[in-house]
Amino acid sequence: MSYFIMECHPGYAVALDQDGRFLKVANLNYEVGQMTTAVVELKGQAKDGHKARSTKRLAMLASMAACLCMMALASWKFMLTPYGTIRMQINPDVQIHINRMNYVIGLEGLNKDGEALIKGYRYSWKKDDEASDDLTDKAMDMGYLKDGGTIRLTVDSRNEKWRQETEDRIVLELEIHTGKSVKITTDPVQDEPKKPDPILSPHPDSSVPAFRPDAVTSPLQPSTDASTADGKDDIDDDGDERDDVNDDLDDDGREGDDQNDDTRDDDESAEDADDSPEDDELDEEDDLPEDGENDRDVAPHEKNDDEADQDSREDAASEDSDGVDEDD
Amino acid sequence: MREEHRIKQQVLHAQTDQNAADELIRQYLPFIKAQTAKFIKRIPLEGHDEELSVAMFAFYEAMLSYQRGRGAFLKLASVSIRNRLIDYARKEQRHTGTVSLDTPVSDGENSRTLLDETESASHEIEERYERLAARNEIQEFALQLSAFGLSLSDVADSCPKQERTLHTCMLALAYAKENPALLEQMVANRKLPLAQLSMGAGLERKTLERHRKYLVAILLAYTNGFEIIRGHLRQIKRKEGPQA
Repeated sequence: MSYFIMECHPGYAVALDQDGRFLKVANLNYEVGQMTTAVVELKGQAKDGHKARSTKRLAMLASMAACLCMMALASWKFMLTPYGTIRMQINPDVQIHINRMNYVIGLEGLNKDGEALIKGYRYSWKKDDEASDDLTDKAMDMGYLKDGGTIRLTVDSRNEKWRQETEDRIVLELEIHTGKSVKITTDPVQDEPKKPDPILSPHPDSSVPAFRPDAVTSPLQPSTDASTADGKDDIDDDGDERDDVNDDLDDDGREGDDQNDDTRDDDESAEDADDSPEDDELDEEDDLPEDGENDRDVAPHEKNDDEADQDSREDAASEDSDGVDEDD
Repeated sequence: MREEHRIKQQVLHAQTDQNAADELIRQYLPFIKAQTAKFIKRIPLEGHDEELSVAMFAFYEAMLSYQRGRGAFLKLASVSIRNRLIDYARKEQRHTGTVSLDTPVSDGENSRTLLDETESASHEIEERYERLAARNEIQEFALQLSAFGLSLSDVADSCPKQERTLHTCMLALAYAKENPALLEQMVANRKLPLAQLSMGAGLERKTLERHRKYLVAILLAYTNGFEIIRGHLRQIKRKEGPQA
């Protein structure tokens, strides 16, 4: 870039560059009409200085305004973020949302009376204790709360310490405000007792054992529950109708015998249904507690005691012989 | 205190009056020399040491940028001179490896410089005539400018700083060159035809108005009689606007 010196002054020179700019440059002993390739240009004039200062001032003001906006937004969010809730249950059920500074930021009626109670109530810039006092007064005015009534408070928050402190403070505040004419409680509402799980929960009666999955048996197997014993046939309450002597077959897992026992039992019950009145005596004797010979077993069909004893002896003999065969 | 107040008044007056500025610089030349001597560690010679020219330029800058109520002017001028000299010294450090043409060459009894020994490719007499012709043309240019009530310093103050604004002015110049009647009208009426330029070139009148002094000077350079200046500006072309 070449510069054409147009005017010379003691302090500066005016040069014309090839782009058509007239510049004030340092007068390095130039002469008018001289061409030069390098000049020392003027840095800034008073007008530019004013502009730069005003621009800087404007930028400073803009950044201050931005900071203020940021602070306002942050505080606004801090004020409006719910930190916990206070639930007041009189009859009206009201939930008060409060922020970190204990200011009320929302009211919610959890039932119709609660909605009626908070209707028209202005909570702006009120703290939780003031709002709870006001709502208590309003509930008294509207007839929801009378002397001797109860206010149940439930404070909820993620911060357990804050929750406890707020609860204590509100309870104290309400007690002072109501002059203890109203009972303030923080006990949770007694909900309907849940139905215990019929499978996993132990029976309230400790005598009944809880369900044990390892004790699951096939539906075809005889129930071991004492309640299912008919009191007639299952003498030793071991699930079959035979005495312990005859249990060897069942103990080795051969279910067929049990099924046969059941079958016989069914047959007996069917025959019992067809029994004539004369036969009822025999059945009644079967149902009586047995001792002695009758303690052993009961014949599945209608027999007198002698015949039954004889049959039982024969059964025992045959089963003993089967047990020998199995041992072999 | 009274002296300080007098300097302030002089400086504020010099900000708007070129002659007063020149006079103030001459008046404070000893001060400027003293500040330069502090930096270069010797007494500067007027018309020989470029540092002194730079210091005078820095004094002029301080004069332009001074504001009332911002302290003493001489302190500001002292700082401004020192900063400018530091910048100039740093800039000159880049040329420390080069050999000056004024380097003396030992040639027995005669003390000659390297410039004297070097065969010049240009013709000094021709250059001198060219410079004289240029000076006459510039004087005539400045005279015609004064007929518009302008000086070259005013033109320099009004010159566009931004590339975009300079481009706008060049578009106005190109339109005037295509319509020589506008240039003749300007010389005859001693008035810039702003309305025709803005309408014809499709430019904002406000932008042209803001740089009216500069436009007068650059349009005047393209009237008859200023071939040397136009020759220097021959690279000015009608540039296309920035692509959208």
